Amino acid sequence: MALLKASLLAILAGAGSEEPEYPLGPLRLPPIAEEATPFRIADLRYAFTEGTDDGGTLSSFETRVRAGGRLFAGGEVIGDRIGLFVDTQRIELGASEENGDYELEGSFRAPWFVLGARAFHEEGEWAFATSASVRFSNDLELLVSNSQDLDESAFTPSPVSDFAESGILPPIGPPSRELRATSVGLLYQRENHLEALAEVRASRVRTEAGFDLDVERYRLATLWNPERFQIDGGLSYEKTSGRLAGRELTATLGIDAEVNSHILARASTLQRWEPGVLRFEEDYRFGATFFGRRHRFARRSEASARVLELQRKANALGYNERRVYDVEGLRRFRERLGISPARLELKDALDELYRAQVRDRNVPQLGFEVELGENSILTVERRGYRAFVGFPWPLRLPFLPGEEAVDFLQADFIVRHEDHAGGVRAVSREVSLTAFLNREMSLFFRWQDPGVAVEAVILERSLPSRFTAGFEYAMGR
Amino acid sequence: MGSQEFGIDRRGFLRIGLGGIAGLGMQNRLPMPVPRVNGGINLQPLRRLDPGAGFAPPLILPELVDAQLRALYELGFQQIRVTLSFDRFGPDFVAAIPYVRAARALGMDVLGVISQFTGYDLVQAIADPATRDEVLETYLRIFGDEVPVASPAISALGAFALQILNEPTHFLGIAPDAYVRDFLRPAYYHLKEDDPAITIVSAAAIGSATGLLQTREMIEAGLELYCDRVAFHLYSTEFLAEVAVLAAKPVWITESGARGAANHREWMITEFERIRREVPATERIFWFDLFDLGSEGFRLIDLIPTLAGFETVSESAAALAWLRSRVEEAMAGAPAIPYRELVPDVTLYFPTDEDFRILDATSFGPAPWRS
Repeated sequence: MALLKASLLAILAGAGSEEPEYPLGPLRLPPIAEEATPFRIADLRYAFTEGTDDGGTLSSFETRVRAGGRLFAGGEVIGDRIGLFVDTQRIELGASEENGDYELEGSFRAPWFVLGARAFHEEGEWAFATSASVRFSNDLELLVSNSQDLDESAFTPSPVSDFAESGILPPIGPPSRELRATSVGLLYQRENHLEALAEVRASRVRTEAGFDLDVERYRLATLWNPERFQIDGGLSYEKTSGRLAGRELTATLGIDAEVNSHILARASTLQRWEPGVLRFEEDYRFGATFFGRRHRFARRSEASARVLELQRKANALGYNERRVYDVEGLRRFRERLGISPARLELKDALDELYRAQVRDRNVPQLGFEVELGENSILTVERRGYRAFVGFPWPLRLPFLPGEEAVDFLQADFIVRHEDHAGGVRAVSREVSLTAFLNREMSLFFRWQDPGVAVEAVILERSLPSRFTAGFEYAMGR
Repeated sequence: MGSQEFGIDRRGFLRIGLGGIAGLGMQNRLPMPVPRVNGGINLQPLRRLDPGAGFAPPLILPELVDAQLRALYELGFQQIRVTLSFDRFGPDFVAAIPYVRAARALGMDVLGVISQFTGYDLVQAIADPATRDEVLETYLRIFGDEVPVASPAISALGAFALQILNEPTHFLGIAPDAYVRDFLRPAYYHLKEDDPAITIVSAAAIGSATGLLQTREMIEAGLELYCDRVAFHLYSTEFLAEVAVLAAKPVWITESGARGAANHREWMITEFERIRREVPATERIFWFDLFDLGSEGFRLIDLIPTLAGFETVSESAAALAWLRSRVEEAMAGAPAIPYRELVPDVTLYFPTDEDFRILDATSFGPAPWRS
């Protein structure tokens, strides 16, 4: 208890001094490479939800500690689910249980490959999934995965005589699921500005109806980030054989462009169609964000240069790391190297990466996004509107720039309309408020009104509004 | 192609053609009912032609029912598909009664569509366990009960089958998998419990590329586990190969046709044959439709109000001529029993006091319009 108290005090007070200033004061440099004696809290999350789908409440709690120099251990309780996990730089293990169902997972990271496996035990049957990546160089990986569901039973509906006897409508069959799947892919990262993935995947799907389909999917995806803009795109071709034979193409394209140093505009689209038959889904989004600080693309920032350098160094030491750019991915990247045998050797580089992330931080203060979409299979037209306003710290109006700004308060507003055939309009709303007390701690409140969906009109059911409140601490985020 | 091609005007054609049947007795053979040789057709269960009539009496015009049934009989249709609009067991529901009963009495198989022209009353009633059994059971009691054949010359009473909703995603916004899960499945169990022998037909999706993709989702969700026949609507033959592999169970094409009278005959001959050839599981095809209120569309006949009732006139002369020729060929010179001889008074098939007692006893009645 005393140790826990000491850890929390250290968190709140800050053990060092690092610009900038947060509402709770300056934040110490996270002790990523330093040994914990005997442990240090790395994560603490709690959330409470009222108004789950069944009208009840849900509490979730997650914590993770660093123990000594080489280990993270943690646990979570989410409703009826209880989980435990242990991570070292090379090995990650986890186990969870929920109402008699189990999930076990583990992975081993070798200098030139990573092997991972998961096992699920649900309703008396096991399913397994394995994955591997083989590293050919700092920039090139072969990705392989395989999954197998040992439950090959086919659903047979109950005879009418059962219904006649019981008067209870027999249950529906399990949803369509993959019995087995195999994929092979190549991931190529060229420095920080280009990433490309090519993947082939074959699977056998047991449909809800009980018959099987063979599905082949070929996918190409890329992301290219020159100086002032970023393009991401993907093309997927899926061929289904069997009773529901068909072909499907999915294309996505997104562009982020810096209008000026503080404004980023984004436009994206998704298109799905069956060649020779119909384009059945289209989605268009556009929006703009005003940043209080000068905007930096994650792949064009100082931090990205340090990621590139650190990844190459880590791989030379045999730690087999992929370059990542998102906040949570970078945190895990730093944590893994921070519990490696070479953590002291890498300490300065890890600290510099964190400092660069702080210096490169983007502080969104005003923004909007509009979504327009249509799915002709479901005969639905979608409209979505999202707006947010952020008040930075030190407090100032959201439309004013300032390089010293950090995230403080952010309010999000989302409204979505779905117009269905038959004249039914479903409207959902969401409002959330997040208070970033510093880079590692935040409080959030979210209210969601699922609205009246088309099924709710027909079935005369209503879903309750959902309110969620939570606290999050993530050391070294 | 129009009726002028045959040298007769469109109003005169049907009368001449049908009169020809009655005159086929010159070979001294015994009169026989017009044989059922011309497949299926969609029939609108109209109670009046004036849409603003509301509940004004008479609720159902016997002459209107008579005119449509007579055309069905004389054109030799084997099956009809008719919407049994729920309407909270209101006038539109009741209006379907004489069409179903008389058609069955004349030996025609009837596919009744459990549906509703507008609104969500029906799907709410099926989705709600408190009303589901009552609604479906009432459908069976009113429409599924046996009626006497119109004459001992009619070899068998027409069979009755039920289709669960019509193009549910297109008209109601019900997702394809939700249709199977929340509507077809419960309807199947309840109806089969009440009448194990009844044929349950799934809803067809809209007859377009969108409908093809919707049907795939319905079948993936287990549609064939809860029906005896799989329905499609085909207004194009573009995707016949795809349709052919979709269904494992026998297929009923519950709507098919071509817009414009000039295209009707060709569609009936060539495209129906092509559908049967390329979708071998096809058992029945229902032309859309005998009569509706849209001219230059799909209807084969028009109904013109007269002082004496309704005059049936040809809208699609070539198609009607072809149907007639098939009837004549099947009769091989035998005289036809006239419709009027089989149905001297169509009101015999109208709703009875017992029908109203059943409807009044439901949680939806009695309704003021019945009194």
